[in-house]
Amino acid sequence: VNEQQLADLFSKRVDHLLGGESLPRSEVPESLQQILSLAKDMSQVQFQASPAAQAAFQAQLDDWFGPTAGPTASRPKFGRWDMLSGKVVALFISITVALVTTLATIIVAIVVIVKGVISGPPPQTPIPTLTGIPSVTAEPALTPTVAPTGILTPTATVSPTLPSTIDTVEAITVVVTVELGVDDLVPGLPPGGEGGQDDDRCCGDHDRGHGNDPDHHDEDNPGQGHH
Amino acid sequence: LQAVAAGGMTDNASIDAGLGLDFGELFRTYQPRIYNYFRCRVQSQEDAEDLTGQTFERAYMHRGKFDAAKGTFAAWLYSIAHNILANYYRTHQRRSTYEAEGGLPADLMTSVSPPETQVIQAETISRLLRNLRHLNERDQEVITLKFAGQLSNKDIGQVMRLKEKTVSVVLWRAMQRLHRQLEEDAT
Repeated sequence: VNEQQLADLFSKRVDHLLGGESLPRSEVPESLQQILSLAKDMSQVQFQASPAAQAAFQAQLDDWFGPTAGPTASRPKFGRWDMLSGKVVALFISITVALVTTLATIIVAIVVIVKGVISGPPPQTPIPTLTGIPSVTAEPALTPTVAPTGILTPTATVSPTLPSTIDTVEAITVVVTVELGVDDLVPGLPPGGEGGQDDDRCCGDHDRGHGNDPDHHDEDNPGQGHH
Repeated sequence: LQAVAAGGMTDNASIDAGLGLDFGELFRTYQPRIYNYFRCRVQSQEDAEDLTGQTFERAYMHRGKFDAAKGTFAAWLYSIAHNILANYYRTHQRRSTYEAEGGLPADLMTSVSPPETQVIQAETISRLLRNLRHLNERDQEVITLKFAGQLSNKDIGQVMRLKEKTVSVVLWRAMQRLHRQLEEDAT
């Protein structure tokens, strides 16, 4: 056995020793047996860093690679599909809650409208209050009759509303008539006729001034017509 | 990754399984062994902790340069530690010895055994560390990388720029010199 073979055999036995395996009981030279005993003692030399240094090292790893680099940090057990299904469930719950809320709002609104239709217009409490203030100061005895007056108020409010709308329509009609002109509305008259004798026939007397009026009535000088 | 962390005697394929996936886990796995390597080479516990931190900081900064085709992660990491230790020695111009401590280091882990056995074991380890410092730099390095670093001869060869067959002989001779040193110390 030359030195190289002895050295290789020693290295092989040391690798078994460091791997936690027991050294096989085989015939080896005495010199190798002594060195293997020394190697066994050397393999037991184990130092351990202080807890502060280990904590600092772990903090450094967390800073570099994130908290998952720690020995006690557990990796998330959720896979990609689990995370996706979780998001879908959360989205479904959100949509359901939104729909329920909307339906509840609609139902409440319908109930309110139906109740309003059945019971008629709600009593207008502000009007009796406003009318009650002057009546209290002027005639305290009329105060109890404020409530019936308030009930009749919607009827009084509706009445002026309709005529005012009609007046507006009539006013529009009048305006349109004026803009179109008399000549456009009365057939047989030449368009654009203005002044002259023709005006007297269609529009009655017009003051021609200074005694030349056919009706002998001078509008510019009332009471001084020609006779 | 577990194969890498277990003994360090792994091939490139084992490294590929964990490469790029979790450097943090690799760092955490190798931290005790890197500290153990430095602690066997320097006297101060604080210096060993500082050198360990420097090693992983440099490994983190240059982790993109690691090429699994050129060697294992352990060999790459211990090469960084080896260079940092060389710089440390150049800066401090001294070698650590355990003679000045006059006892067992406080950070030495003791095995679960009866107290009387622990005392004998502690004395044996103390003698080992004390006589290890009397060896030359190369013998100390190959013994420390093998037992404290738990590297394969191939990885040691990559760190020390030696052939694998040469590492076997260098380790064998270094252990023989340590054995003789212990015998002389006993007499």
